[in-house]
Amino acid sequence: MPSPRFAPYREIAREIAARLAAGRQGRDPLSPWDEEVIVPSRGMADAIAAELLERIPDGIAGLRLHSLEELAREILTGRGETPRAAGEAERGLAMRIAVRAFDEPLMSSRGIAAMLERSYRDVRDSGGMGRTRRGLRNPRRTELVTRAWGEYERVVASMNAIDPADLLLRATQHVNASVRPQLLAGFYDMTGVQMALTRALIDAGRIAGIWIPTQETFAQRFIQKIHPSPLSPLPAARGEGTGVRGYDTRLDEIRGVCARVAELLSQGMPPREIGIVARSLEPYDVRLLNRFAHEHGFRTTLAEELPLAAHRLGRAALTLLRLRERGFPRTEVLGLLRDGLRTQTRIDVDAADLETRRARIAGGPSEELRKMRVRSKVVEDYIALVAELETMPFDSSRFRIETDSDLQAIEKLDEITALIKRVPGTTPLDTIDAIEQATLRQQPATSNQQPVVWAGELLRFRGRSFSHLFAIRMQDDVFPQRRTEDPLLPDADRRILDVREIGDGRDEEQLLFSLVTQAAEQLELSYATGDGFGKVLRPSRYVRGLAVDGRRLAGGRRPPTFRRRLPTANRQLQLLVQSGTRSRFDGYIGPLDPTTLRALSPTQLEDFGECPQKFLLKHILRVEDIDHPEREIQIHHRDKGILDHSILEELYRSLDAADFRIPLPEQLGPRLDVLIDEHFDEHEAIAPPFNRTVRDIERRATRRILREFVAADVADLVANDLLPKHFEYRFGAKHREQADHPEPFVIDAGGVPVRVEGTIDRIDVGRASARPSYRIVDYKSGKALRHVNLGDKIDRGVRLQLALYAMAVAEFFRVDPEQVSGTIKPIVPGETKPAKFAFALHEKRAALLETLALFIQSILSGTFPAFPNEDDDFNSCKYCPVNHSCRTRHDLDERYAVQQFRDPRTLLSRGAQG
Amino acid sequence: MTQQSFLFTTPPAQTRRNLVIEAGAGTGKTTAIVAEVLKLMLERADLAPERIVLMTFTEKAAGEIADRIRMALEELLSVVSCQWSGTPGPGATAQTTGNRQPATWPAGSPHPLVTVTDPERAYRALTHHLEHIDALRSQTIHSFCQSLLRSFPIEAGLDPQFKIVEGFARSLLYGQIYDAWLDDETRVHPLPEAVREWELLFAHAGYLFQIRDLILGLINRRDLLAESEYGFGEFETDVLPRLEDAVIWIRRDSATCKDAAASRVAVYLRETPFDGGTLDEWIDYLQPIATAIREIDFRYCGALKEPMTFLRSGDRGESIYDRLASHRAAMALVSLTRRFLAFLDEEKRKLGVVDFDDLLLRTLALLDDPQVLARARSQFDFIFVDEFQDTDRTQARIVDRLARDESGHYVPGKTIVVGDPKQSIYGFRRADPETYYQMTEALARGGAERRVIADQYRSDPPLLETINAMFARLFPEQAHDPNVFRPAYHALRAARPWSRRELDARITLLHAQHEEKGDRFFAEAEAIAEWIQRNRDGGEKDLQRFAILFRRLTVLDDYLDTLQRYGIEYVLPPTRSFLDRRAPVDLLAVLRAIAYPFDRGAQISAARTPYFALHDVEIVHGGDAWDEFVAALDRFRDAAKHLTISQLMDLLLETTGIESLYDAAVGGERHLAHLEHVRAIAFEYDQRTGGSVQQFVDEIADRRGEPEEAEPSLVDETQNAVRIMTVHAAKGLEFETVIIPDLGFSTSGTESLQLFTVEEPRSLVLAGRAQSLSGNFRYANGEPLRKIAKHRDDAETLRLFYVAVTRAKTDVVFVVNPEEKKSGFQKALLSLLGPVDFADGREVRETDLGPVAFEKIDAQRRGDRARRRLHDEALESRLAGALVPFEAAAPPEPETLTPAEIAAKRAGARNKAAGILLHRVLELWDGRSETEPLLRQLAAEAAADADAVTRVRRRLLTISRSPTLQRIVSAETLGRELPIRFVEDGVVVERRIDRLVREHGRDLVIDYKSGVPEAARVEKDRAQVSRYAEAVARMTGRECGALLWYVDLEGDVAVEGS
Ligand code: SF4
Repeated sequence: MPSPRFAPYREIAREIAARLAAGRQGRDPLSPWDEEVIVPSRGMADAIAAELLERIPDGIAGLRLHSLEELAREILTGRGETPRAAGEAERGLAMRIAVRAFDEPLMSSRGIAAMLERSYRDVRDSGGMGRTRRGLRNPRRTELVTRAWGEYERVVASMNAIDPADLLLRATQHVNASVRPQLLAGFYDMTGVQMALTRALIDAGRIAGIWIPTQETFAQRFIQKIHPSPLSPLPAARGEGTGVRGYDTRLDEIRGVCARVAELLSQGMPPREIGIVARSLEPYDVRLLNRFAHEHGFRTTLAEELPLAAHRLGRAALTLLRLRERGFPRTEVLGLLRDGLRTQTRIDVDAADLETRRARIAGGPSEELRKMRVRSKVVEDYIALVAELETMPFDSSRFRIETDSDLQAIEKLDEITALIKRVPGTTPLDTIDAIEQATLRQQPATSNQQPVVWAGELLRFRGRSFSHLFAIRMQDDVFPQRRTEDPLLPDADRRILDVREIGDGRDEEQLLFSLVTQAAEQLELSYATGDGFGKVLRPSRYVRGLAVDGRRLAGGRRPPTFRRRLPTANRQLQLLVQSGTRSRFDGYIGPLDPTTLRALSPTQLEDFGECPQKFLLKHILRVEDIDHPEREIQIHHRDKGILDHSILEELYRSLDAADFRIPLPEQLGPRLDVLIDEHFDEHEAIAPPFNRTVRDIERRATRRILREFVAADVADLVANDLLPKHFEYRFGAKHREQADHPEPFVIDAGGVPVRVEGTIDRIDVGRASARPSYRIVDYKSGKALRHVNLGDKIDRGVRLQLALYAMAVAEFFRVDPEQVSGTIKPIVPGETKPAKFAFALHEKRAALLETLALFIQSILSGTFPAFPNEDDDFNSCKYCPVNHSCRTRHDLDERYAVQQFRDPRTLLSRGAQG
Repeated sequence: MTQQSFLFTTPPAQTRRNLVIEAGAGTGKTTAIVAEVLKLMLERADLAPERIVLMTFTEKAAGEIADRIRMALEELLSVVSCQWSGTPGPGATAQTTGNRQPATWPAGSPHPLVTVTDPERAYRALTHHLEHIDALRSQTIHSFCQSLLRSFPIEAGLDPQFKIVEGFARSLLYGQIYDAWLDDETRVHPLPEAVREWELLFAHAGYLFQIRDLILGLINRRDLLAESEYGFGEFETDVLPRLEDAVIWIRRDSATCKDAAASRVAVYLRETPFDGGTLDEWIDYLQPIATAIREIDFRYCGALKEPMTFLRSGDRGESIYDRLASHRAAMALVSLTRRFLAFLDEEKRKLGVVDFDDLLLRTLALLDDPQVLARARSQFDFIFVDEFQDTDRTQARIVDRLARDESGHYVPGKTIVVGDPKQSIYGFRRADPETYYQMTEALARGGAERRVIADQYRSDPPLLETINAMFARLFPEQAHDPNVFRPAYHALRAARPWSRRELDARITLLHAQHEEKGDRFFAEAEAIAEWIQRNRDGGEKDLQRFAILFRRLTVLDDYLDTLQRYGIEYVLPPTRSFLDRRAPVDLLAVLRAIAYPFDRGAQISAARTPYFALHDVEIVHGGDAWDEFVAALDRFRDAAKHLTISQLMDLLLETTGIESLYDAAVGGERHLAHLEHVRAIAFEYDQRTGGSVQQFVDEIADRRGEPEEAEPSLVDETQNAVRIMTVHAAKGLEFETVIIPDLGFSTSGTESLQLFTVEEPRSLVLAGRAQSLSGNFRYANGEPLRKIAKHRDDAETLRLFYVAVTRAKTDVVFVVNPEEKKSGFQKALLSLLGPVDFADGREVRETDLGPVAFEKIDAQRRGDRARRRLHDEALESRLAGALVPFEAAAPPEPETLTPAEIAAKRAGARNKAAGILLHRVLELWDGRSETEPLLRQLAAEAAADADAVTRVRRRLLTISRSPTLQRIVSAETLGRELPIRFVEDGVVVERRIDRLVREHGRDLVIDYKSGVPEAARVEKDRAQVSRYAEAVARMTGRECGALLWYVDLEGDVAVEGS
């Protein structure tokens, strides 16, 4: 047996290439090779091939550079055996099925199958477990684990497959002289079964040469097994130049490294001489590497993995599989169509989305939805769609394919379905699971002209060498990687069972680091001190070791600021320059057509008072709120308001003056209950509840709350000697024949007549006949905290409705403003004193007229700045339909600009003048 | 308690005691810890560093302590090694080499903490420890717990590969689980008991979203919800006797009240018989007079004043009825929360995730297992806990368990805790100084040494004098209150020399005058900006001196804006939620417009973002610009169909060039950083959730304010800029001048619900939106227990004040508004100074605290300095003029396939498995024997499905009749599946040749193809096979032919290569 040679990877590749090339001299290029090469990694194979082609530039044919596993397969195939080693997906599935056979808490967590698989792999790779069981930490658990493995093996067998370890073991038995001589290139470690095959090859004299890249402690075990005699030490081969760079953030680091790569490329270094390696890369690292490489004009060899579940077809498949169990939620039903499901029912998804929202459909099966009394055509279609989905089986051919990535996803789905079909004992959950675990490989879309630079994780890197290597993400916890014991088979147990121990990994990590240092002439290590989002990252100990006193050796902390070309469309820059300066970007749009003001509701004016831009959006641009019925498990607040109002209206209308007394008439409570039931039933026929329990709770709560409210309300009426006279008093043209007062209330706002229309919840009139007092009452479902300090808010122009109503009433009923007052009645009693919800008209009238004049002028002059106000007092943005995306609300500068003129009046007056 | 400074001698190893170190601000706490570790290491050369655990409060601190220990070891080693070997080490000082004085640490300190007496032994020890120093476990308590749980996941009932969810991902997940739970509890599996609780709570809270807030808020105190020894109060014992007394009194006494409400109550109680009963029955009984009770005016109740007062209790919402009902709702809340926690735990277990709280709670529970506890204890010999005053009760219990032996006694010398009770400021993170008190007391009772470090190295002596004067008064010695911890002050001794700066006073009271309440923050900000401008010296680093420390960051915007207007650079480290900032909002506005085609508001908002930059006239009046914009949005929408969220973002950013826009903008770095954060979140969202754009937009909207994620610090430490941060973030840091604005902040009422424990009488109290009986009907010091929360808040505010002031090295500036209400720091300050008044300018007055400057600055110059918008000034002024026409940026049409292409590709995919199988058969088939057995065998190997096998079978039938087969068999086979490698355009190419034969002396490359030779395909295939043939020809120098063999179900065609 030859003694091993020790050399860095690049040397190994050179020596082997030289040896193979020498053997080819004078031979027919198509003749068989005398020797074959066993490699531990693709990198080693590539390196040898590259070196060989340097020596035989015309090309080579027939040379096998194979892994031990491939060799094993070739050996078996040579004997006419073609067993199938279960693939990763099959093994995973098999273990998940195996785990299900045990009704034990240990077997029910998500990661247990993967864990069992890993331990199983170690056991199999170690060539099995010893017989001794004495001294195990938890024999019962080990027992259970062993039984799970047994079950796994049974499932694998039922798939007509064998475990990969068995493939190697079988080959071991058939190693003989017919195997061509092998060169063992670049191993420093092996699993037990790999070693068994290697030993068999050695024993059969089939190993013609051995090259080992290191003599680090971790490799000693392997070296001892291969060649148990003392060795001469390998001279430490360190790169000539090693530098360390620290960056502030991970982002800076990756971008900085890409900038360095671009620099080297621009200096003429061939791309294949540059490498980027990390101990491990998270998916986002890969994304960033590709993104910044693209930014800097090159590509990396890294493919990105997209979870199948994040692809629209994968998502649709999952949704479809879970739809029934979830109760057919509306968004998911429509999401399916958006994601590409083909159905018989033809429906415009966007229209259906809007209509079903308006109809307050949260979801539910077709049977429930059919109970709706009023249904538009679109809603009908929607119900038909749900009905179709209820019986639709899972079948990938139902998905619409439009792009290559759709094709890729559909193939993956087919693959999964085929696998599940092949394995006995699977359930739909396995399909869901398999889809959730599956990923799609995506090469970043970049121009093919760009140079390609190798990038990858350390284990894939083995065997490769570069002139310039960037070792990135040199962080604590990343490199060295921290190991934890296998909880199923801790090291103490492994020792007893003769299974390979995990250990602390220190030596292996050290070895890996030494491989990095020897793989390039120039090595740049880098790390970041934070993730960029507030998390502190610590540099790797290997870097700390290199850096003096923890200070960085080279480079600044931040890569040179990356500057892109200026946008060509200067309009965008103009927005930045001009916004917040009362420009056209800020709602200053110039004079408006006076017809805009033909009729205004008090709410509209109130909106203006709160935020002029909100008025512009809601009442000129007609922006509406978009409802989310699935998130509104309760009755929508607007519906609830209408319910409360109509119940109270009906109740009060049915009462006589004599009924307003304390104690309340006995029949009042039951009558209220009946009314509540009637109105709730009515409402259900319009908007069937997705969640019946909650609806019932609300119904009972309404009974209690309204009873309390009525009791307090009547007490208040009695105390103030008032009687409710008018309910839902409508005025203005828009109410047509239903109007109590067909004319609008016309108010002169600084010379401009404004027509106000509206509905007054209730008007109470004093029992005294001479100069009776009039009180305008407005119910608010809830505690009405927005209306606290009503009088003050009227003065500031942010609560106008009730005051305007009061003015209208004074005019309609021809009474002195002294006699008119208004009050908000919160239906849910809060801690606020009633006086804080009330005002007297005569105190407010003059200022109110002034305010209105100001508002009207501003509207006519087209002055609609945004005025974000979100303090406790009043919150203009809370009910604004664009509050999530309003620019002014979220921009310091713009906010400042409007807050300069805090009082809307000041703002408006200046705006109106300017 | 002994009070001493650093100097002491190392006790011999066997007499080591546990240690409680109290280290006031600026006394070098870290140094003290490093010294203790060094001593240990010197004493015990054989000690493995992994047997020392150093628990810190932050990752940063963990890294710093580890680094400092390493450096200290290196420092000492360099001195010791030259002493021992006689050669000067690189870091040795003349003093140590020359006269062989004992090596000390810190080197050159007049009060060294460590002294080496035996250099030889020390050398061995230091070398050993340095070699293994990486194994030292310097980590936060969370990562400590994490490693423990990773070792015992099964015992802890966790998924063995558990992942940690935090920040946005956590909030997202919890939100989703909550929704699923609510649905399960109420719609899918409504149990009567649960529904009753929902109903009670609903009646109390009014809205489901409020219940959601309450429950999701309460789970942060799950540690307390798990407490079994503390109760929420008992109706029977805490309330009933007094309630019955009151009712009996009212019924018995026929006295009438002048107050109408009270009369109604009395009449009802007298006329409606009720013999008492359960809490529920009482609530029902009192319900009809609930309003009346609230309205009782007990001033007019005459003889019934006392019982009526009991009934009404206080303000609205505090009547006996309200309190009982509130308790019932509170208990429903607690019960629902507990059920939610169980559900959450189960879901998290299934998903294999834990959050930071779980790490602690699970560890504590894990340590209940005696076997695990024994093994965990045996893993470490020494436990150091830094910032011990900020540990919460769970953390303290974990430490406590590890610190004891199996007999329950503290292991002597094992535990060293370091902290400053006056700096306990993390109440909102559950830090619990009462716990600090209890545990340090217990340690001391168990024999621990208490040490107070008094030498202060931070502040100038005159400033320190003032600090001592202030806090001796604010932290007076007082009797121990078991419920509210108020540490006493120990005066600090100035250990640092005077700085060079001459100042007339070390404390400045800066008056920020303003007329309107709303102007307050601007006024303060302007006063600060002016003051800084006046006091900076124009040197290169003249801004770095100043730090502005805030209690809360909610008011920060006004200050930042003002500094910007004044052109004062600032650095703002982490802490603000960023999703609500401009760049993310703009991006999400556009995404929303894409996701919601029918949302006009979203559309308009998107148009107004810099992505499109329409102005409002274009939006209101419509026209070409608007139409173009709508069309562009449609294009994005089309593209979005095929993209994940992060891909869509990439497309959007790239198409609209928004990054270059921010590049051009002043302050754009911050926008870019925020964008990066959103992109990271979107990527994570794709990976974990894979939801649609609609879902993503909604999820983000829900959580805009939630993630208290840190913001990247954009400027490195060396930048000449004012530091702005919270007092919390400033902990552990020091600055020359500390400026404290927003003094009169108020903290009360910030939380809608509080849950806390009280030691005497031992209780759990729920206060705020739902109140437990314990808070209202149990008392300490004559006050209901719920008030304790406020006292604790007040005590913590004082501690916070201490931390803020003690960050200063030379002077402190308080920004004072004498008119403001007295709360927050202002209250503390004015309690020391009495009422303050200001004249114009700066005036130094002698006070009890020493000289204090009163300064009034007239800074009414708001808004007169316009901020620059773009880096390029010329460009900016050019763009300030007339508007340029709108140009919409739209992405290219997505590349979609035609139906024919799709059909072909699908067919190809279906053929693929059959093709592979056929290749494999042809690889092994000798061309003569029966194919069926081989086909079966290889079908099993490839796990081919029946369809593929049938296809291959039919193809084999075709082949067997094919003349091409005869041609191949009769030629000499040189190789099957033959690997070839060659260089093409400088790149190594590796391919496999299906079969290489020699036919009539000519080499021939054969490529098997499944299907029929359509024209387009043949062309491509031919090019490919010819490439191989050319490669072979190059190798051999001989001619090489190529043959494509198309085999289909019905027939085969051989096509010669070119
Ligand atoms: S979000 Fe606020 S500031 Fe913006 S338009 Fe709406 S109300 Fe006005």
